[in-house]
This record gives sequence, structure tokens and C-alpha cells, in this order.
Amino acid sequence: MHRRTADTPVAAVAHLGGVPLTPGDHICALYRGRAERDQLMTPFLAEGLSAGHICLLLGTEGDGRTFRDVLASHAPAVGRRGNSLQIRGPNEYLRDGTTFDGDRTLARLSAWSDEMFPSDNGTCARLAADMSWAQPLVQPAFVQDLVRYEMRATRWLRSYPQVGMCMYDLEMFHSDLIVPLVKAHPKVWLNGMIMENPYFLDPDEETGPPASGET
Amino acid sequence: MATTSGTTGRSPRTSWGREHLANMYSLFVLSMIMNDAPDESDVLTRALTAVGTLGPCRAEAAYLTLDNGLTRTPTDWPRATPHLDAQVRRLDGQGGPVTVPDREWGWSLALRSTADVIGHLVVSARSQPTDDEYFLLRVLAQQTAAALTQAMARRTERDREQRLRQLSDDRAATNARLTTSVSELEHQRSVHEMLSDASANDDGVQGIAGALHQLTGYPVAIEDRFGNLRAWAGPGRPDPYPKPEAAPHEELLQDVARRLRPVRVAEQVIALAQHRGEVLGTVALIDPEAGAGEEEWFALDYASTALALELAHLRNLAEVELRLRRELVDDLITGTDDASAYARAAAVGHDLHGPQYLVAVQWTGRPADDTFVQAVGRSAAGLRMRSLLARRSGMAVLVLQGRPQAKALYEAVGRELGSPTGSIGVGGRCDTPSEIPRSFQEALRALEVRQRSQSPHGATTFDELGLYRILGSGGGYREVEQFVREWLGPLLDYDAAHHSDLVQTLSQYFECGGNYDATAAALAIHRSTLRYRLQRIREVSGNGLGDVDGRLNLHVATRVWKVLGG
Repeated sequence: MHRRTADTPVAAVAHLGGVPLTPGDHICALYRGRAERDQLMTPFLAEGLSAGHICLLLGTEGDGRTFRDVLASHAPAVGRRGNSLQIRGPNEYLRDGTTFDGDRTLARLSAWSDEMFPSDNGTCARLAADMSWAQPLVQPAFVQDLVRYEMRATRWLRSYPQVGMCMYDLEMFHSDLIVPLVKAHPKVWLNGMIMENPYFLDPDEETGPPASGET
Repeated sequence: MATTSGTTGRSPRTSWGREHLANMYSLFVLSMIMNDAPDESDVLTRALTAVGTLGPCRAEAAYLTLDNGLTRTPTDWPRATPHLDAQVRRLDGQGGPVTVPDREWGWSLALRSTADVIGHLVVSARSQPTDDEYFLLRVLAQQTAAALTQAMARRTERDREQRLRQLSDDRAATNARLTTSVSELEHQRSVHEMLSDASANDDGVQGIAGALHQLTGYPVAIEDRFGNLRAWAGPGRPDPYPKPEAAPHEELLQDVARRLRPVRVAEQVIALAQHRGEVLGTVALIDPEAGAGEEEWFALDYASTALALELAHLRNLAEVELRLRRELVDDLITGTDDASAYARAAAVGHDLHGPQYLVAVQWTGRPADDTFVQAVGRSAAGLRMRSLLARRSGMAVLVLQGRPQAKALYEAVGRELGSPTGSIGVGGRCDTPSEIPRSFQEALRALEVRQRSQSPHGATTFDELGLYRILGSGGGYREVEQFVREWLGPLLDYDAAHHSDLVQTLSQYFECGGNYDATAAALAIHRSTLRYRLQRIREVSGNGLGDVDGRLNLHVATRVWKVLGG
């Protein structure tokens, strides 16, 4: 484990829109449309690949090959070190392809991190998760599960030298999902800037799930 | 609130405090999202879907205040009802309580932009919300109103831009139309100028063909109304030029005349040159590839108009010249001074110097109209006879330069008119214009004699009349015929009864001066046959050929008989 402490000065390991990110950062990136998604995700992962970081792209299994080609034009390292970019589809989140299982997902991600960071070898990892797959599942109970998962994901990201970006398309998701998710992320990317969320529900201070009223 | 990364010191909070602040932060982010929403419906949808995430309340409906009153927005929000719509309307633009089935508390939050209410957000709860929960709803309403204001402003701006864009597009389209119109007008001007120049420069029909070829690039053929080529411009002129069959060509002209524009026929685009409804000719672009466009068709159309004017002008000139010729012929016939006659004849292209002959032409069943006179003129021209032509009292009259070929003229006119039933009389030679009236009278005399003869169809020259020339007309004919009857009657009757040739034999005998051998040779009979016939003549006629007076009278009678077609 590579747990970070509050007193340790930490250097930036990544950038998003020019804003530096440090290990353990967990960002809720709100965008509109696929073109904006690619404009956000491509330089983020390309920069990581160029820096020798391990990159995990989650949730875009269908267009992963296309995206790999796009990335190759931005980061020639993809071609030389193909295993630096790993792409996994929505089944990483879903049990039997239909039911969201946050605990299982986090267990897999933790196992992945253990595998990627067998020792303190100075390697960093970047995670970009396109959450579009979740749109058909939006129901009050699912929202509660997803928010709980995102809060615990913050804890997981802090446990390793890695940064994670969860991407939600505003053209697909409404406020019934966005508002709870904002509360669960320490940083929010919106309209070209990153905003600190000093009021996010820190999992380390968690006393229960955030309120999600009747819908 | 910071917009850059950095560590944030956190102090322990109560669960309520953390939740409340997290909600406030979420509202802030939501406000940013709503401010960036594409339209008012998206703003209200986000507000509606946020209500349930901020506390125990439920979103019932949202409305926009538009010019025509409240409009449910989004229209398909599942819990909105007409009953709720009516309650919000009754609040008359203010916030206030509403009743919702199975809910203890309901409220319409007014969405205000400065002083105006621009919409409503209707919420409900199973029980009265706490002050803090109501506070969050009011913040949500304020942020929603702000976002709505922005969305409306953007919509106004978009509409304005769209109108500007539409105006710009309209202007561009107008400019494009103007450019096209200017280009078309420029082309039409060049067509007008070139064809007008062709007419003004006395280039005539050939000039029009050349100008049209230059304008279009296509070979041009101009034909008269019968299909004869009058002018060609450009490459590929057929040689010989094919002349169409009369009937199909006439049908084609009538078909084209029914249209108002040029017509494509096989490899040509044809336009008619019409003047006062009469087809004077055609002008055609030779376009086997069917590549001619609007501009070429316009040029062709305009060329047909120029051609019509040109052909009408030429015809008027011809008519004027014809009238001048007629008047000249009339004057020549009635008598005019030589100097004037020479000058006027030269003006219409006829040389009156040298021998002239007057010719009178009449045809059975054909009035002496323009068509007839023109047919006579064409026949004379075809025989290379140079003449002045006129119409006069039921006949065509020609003043011919040089000795006429009377028989050939008769045959040519017969062919032209398709009938041999005509008569031509040719007057005697006249060497000065002042002799023309006499020659005309002689032509009339010859014509009359021919028409009264036993074979009235043909040509007779005054010179051929011989003795007959000195005999008068009118009643004189009866006397002449009586004279012939008196001296040749028995012989004529005998010939008629026996199919013999006694009168012909007698005539030839006199013409040969009474020489037996010459007469027998001329008649291709034996001398003894001649002797026998002369004997029969003496017997039948009762006249001896030895008597001087009887012999003279018989000779005159046979001469007259011959003139009369014996």
C-alpha cells in the first residue's frame, strides 16, 4: 500500500485542462457529448502514456479499438508499449451484464492496483472511466449504490499513486444523478475548469450514505 | 471557492452540517450546469430532477411564463396535471400553496427575474419541510430563475443571430440572383448589339447567321419557308444542301408555329421568322449533342426576330420594286418618252437599249394574280430571259430584252403552273421605247389569234401571223372565216368526211410555187399521188388552179387556214 498522508508534500503527476493533479485525486468530469469527452480524455491518457504511466480506460469497450487509434496519433508510446493502455468494458461494473455491483468492482480495481504496484517502483497510474453505460440503469436505488461506490472509489484512489477521472455526460444524465455524484467527488471538472469540493462527503469521515430523496 | 487544486483542511462536522454544505455545493455546481443549458426546458428539467436529491420533497411540475400565459415545461413531466396547472394560474404570478393528492404539503415557487415572474417550480412533500429543506428549495428556485434568464437571453440572441443570418442569406441569395440577372442582361445586351449591328450594317441574312454563330458557337442555317438554304455560318455545311419534302416541311413549320419558343427537331433547334403571322423563313442551330442552353436558345429566339424583320424588309423592297416595274411597264405600253423610259428601266435593273419584244401570257382557269405573274417571271428567268414583268387586264406582260424563245417560255410556264392550257402572244421587235405600245398591240393580236385558232394552247409570234397581221380584229374574224369557207369549204368538208389531206396538199402546193417535185417531196408522197390529189381538188372545189384570181384567193385562204391552225 502506498497510502498518502496529509503532511507529505506531493508533486503533480498529471494535468487536466492545465490544472495539476496529484496522486489520489478523484475527479467528477461533467461534459456534453462525445466530442467533448474525447477532447478531455485523449490528452489525459496520451500524456500519461508519454510519461510512462499505466492507463486504464473503463467503460468504452465498444469503441476501445477506435480510441486506441486516436491515442496512437497523440502518443506514439501506445504502439511501442501497447500494454500501458488497458481498456475494459462496462462488464467491469456489472454482474451478469445487467446488475451494478460496486463492491465487486472495487475489489477488482483494488486487485488491479495491487498487480500494477507490486512495490514502490515510482510508477503512476491514470484511470478514465466513461460512465455512459450507467444511463439506462438510473433508478433511486442504483443512484444510492453508485454514489456509495464513488465515495469508496475515492478511498481506493488515495491508496495508490494514481489519479482517477469519472466522466458523466450531461446530455445523458440529469440532476437526480449529478447532484449526488457531485457530493461524492472531491474535485469537479466543469466548463473547462476544476473546482475543489471542500464539502464532499469524505469516505474517511463517512457516517452513512448521502441523502437522496424521493424521485 | 477555489478553482485550482490543493489540499483542503477539514474540520470535524456533524453529519447534518456536512450534508447541508454538500447540498449547497452541489446546488452551486448544478447552477453552473443550468447556466450552460441549451434551452429553458433543459434548465427546468434539471431543476425538477434535482428537487428529490436535496431533501424529502418531490417535483410536481414546472412552468414558463410566456406571452400567452403559463406553459407547462417540460410538457411531458409525468406528475403535472390540469388541476395543478389551474392552481398555479390562480396564484396570478405569485408563489404560494397548492394542493397535491396524497401530499400534506405543496408549494409553487415563483421563478423571478428581477421584478418579473418568468416561471414556476411546483414541489410537494408528505409533510411540511424543515426551514433548512425549504431554504435549499428557495436557493434551487433562485438558481433556476437565473439560469432561465440566461437561457432566454441566449434564445433571444440566437433568434437575433438567426434572423441576421437569414437576412444575410437572403441578401446573399438576392445578390446571387442579381449577379445572375446582370450576367443574363449582359448576354442579352451582347445578343441585341451583335444582331442589331448585323442588320444595321446591311449584312442581311448572312450577317444574322454569322452573328448567331459567333454568339453561340454552333453552326447556323437559315432557310426560306420552302426549306431552301439562304445562309450558313460555321463549319459542316452540307453540300449539296438537302431540300425537305414539301408536305412534311409545311407540317413542321405549322408545328413549330404553334409553340412560342424555338423547338428541337432531331439535330437542330429551330425558330421561325414570322411577320404578321406569316412564316417567312427559319433559323436553326445545328446541335447534334443537344448541348445548347438557355443563353443559346435566347440568342436563337432573338435572331429569329431579327431575321423576320430582315426578311419582311426584303419582301417590302421586292414589292416596291415590283410595283415600280409594273408602273413602268404600264407607262411603256401606253407610251412614254424614250429618255425617261431608259432612266426608269435602268433604275429597276433593266436595259431598254437594243431590241425588245412584248409578250402577253394568259392561262385558262388561272387569274392573273401575283402567283401567276411570279410563275411567269420565274419561267422567264429560268430561260435566262431578261425582262420587265407586270400584270395587266387579266394577263402577265413581259418586256423582253432580245428575241424571245416563245415555245420554250410556254413550256416552262406550263411546267411551273402544272397545266398546259395557256396561250402566249409575242409582239414584233421594237428598237426604241416609243415602239413598245405597237409591239404590245401586236402581242395581243398574236395572243388573240392563237386563242381563236383550232389549237388555242401554245405560243404565237406576231411575225408568224403573216397575212393575218393586216386583218382587223373583232368582226373581221367572221369575214376571214367566211372567206376561208367560201374558197376552201368543199375541200375542208371532203377532208373531214374522208380523212384526206386535200387542203394541206393545196397549201403546200402554193407554198412551193406550184412546183410538183418540191411539193411531192415536202408532203413525202409520190408525184402521181400529188397529181391525183390536185385533180380531186379541182373536182371538189370546182375551181381551176389556172385562173389567176382563183389561184390567188385559194392561196390566201390556205395561208389563213394555216394561221388559224389548219
